[in-house]
Amino acid sequence: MDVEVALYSGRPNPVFRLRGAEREEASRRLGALVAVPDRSAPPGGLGYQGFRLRPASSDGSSDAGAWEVGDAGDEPTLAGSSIVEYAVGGGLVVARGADGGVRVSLDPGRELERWLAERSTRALTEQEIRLVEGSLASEEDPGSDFPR
Amino acid sequence: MLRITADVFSGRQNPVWTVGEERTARNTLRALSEGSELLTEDAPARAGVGFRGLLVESLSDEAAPDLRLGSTTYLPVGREARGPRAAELAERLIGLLDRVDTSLDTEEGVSLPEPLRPFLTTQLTTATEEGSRSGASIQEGGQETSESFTAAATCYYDVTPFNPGFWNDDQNTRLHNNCYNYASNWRNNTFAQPGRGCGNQYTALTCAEVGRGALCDGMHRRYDCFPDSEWPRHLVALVIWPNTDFHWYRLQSEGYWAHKPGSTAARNVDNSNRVINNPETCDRGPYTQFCGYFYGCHTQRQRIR
Repeated sequence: MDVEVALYSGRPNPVFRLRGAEREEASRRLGALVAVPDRSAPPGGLGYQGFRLRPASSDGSSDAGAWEVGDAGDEPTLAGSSIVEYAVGGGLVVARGADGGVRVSLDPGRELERWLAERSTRALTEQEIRLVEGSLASEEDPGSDFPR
Repeated sequence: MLRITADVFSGRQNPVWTVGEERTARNTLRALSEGSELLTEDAPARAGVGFRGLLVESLSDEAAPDLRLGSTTYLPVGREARGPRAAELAERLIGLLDRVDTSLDTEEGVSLPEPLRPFLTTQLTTATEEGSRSGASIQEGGQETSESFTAAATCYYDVTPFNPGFWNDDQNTRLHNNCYNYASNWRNNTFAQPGRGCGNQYTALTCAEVGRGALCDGMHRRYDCFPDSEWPRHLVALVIWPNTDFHWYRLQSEGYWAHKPGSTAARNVDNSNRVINNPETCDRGPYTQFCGYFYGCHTQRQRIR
């Protein structure tokens, strides 16, 4: 699966790919999330917002293809519609279905976000690593609104 | 700008033409809006072979409120036509092929029937005769979607309604259009970079360099007027995350500003979730440098890449 580091508005964001054991681990973590039905998706904004996970396509772009969950389970769905994106940030994970549906889950301790941040360093510049680490260090409260 | 596809072939590439003149495009969309009962979101599944209909795509969001059906709409003809006026509307769309500002978008190496207009008209007549048993009522409608305002003593700029669905509803659109696409009101899926379209992209993430790139694409600084022929002349604002990134806002007809942070959804609120009444003072997160205001225009937005 492809992971976009949500940092920029004008420039393209850094993107890296999870393969093999990393992909399996990400699928396992996503599958273990507990939804919070009464929680609405945060609005997001400018600056670091977390990570966006999408199925990797064969041509390397991030707008098509399958999750390729392998042994970890079935392709993820949301109310019967395939999930096209997970947004991970600020203690929440927002799954978006192909039909526009949204499911919000908690990411306690921002563990999934931190796990992704550790893997993102291979795609980031020193400055970008500092931005991500700085945001994770400054906003410790799990389940809070997305960082600004 | 409108892109029209005649859905007539099954194996070979369908004819596609682009209407470049904005007023012609608006008039066409208004005519479609007045016959909205004749339109569908997509080609009917059981349309079969022959002339099935015309797909009309708008490349900018000011036209979408006219359509009320999103940025893409389909006019079925023949057996699947939703009323007798469908053929008349189809003829009008085919007639645009004769306009000097219309260009045929044919891939290299693909041949189309020549001349194209008589061919399509004949196909339409055949399909209409075959489908003459069917019919539907027609409803009138339509509305103006833009206004012009005076800026300083002499300049005019144009504003259009906030239309986030045009940018957000489709995942592919959301991912591949950024703040510069939004400010330019040009959804061409290029994640546009100031200056890239004119061959001279910014070389540093500073107000001076990104502004230079936008001017190279054809923007003007505020109070450097554009003529009416450059409609729509949007008022936009550039801000900078020093040495890191750029961001743009566009003024909407509701009086607030809207923006599209990168691959995320277009919105009219800032980082504090407040409606943006002033891009100079709103919560912009790390985009701390306010560079100033610019006018976009039709020539500029067609150039962005």
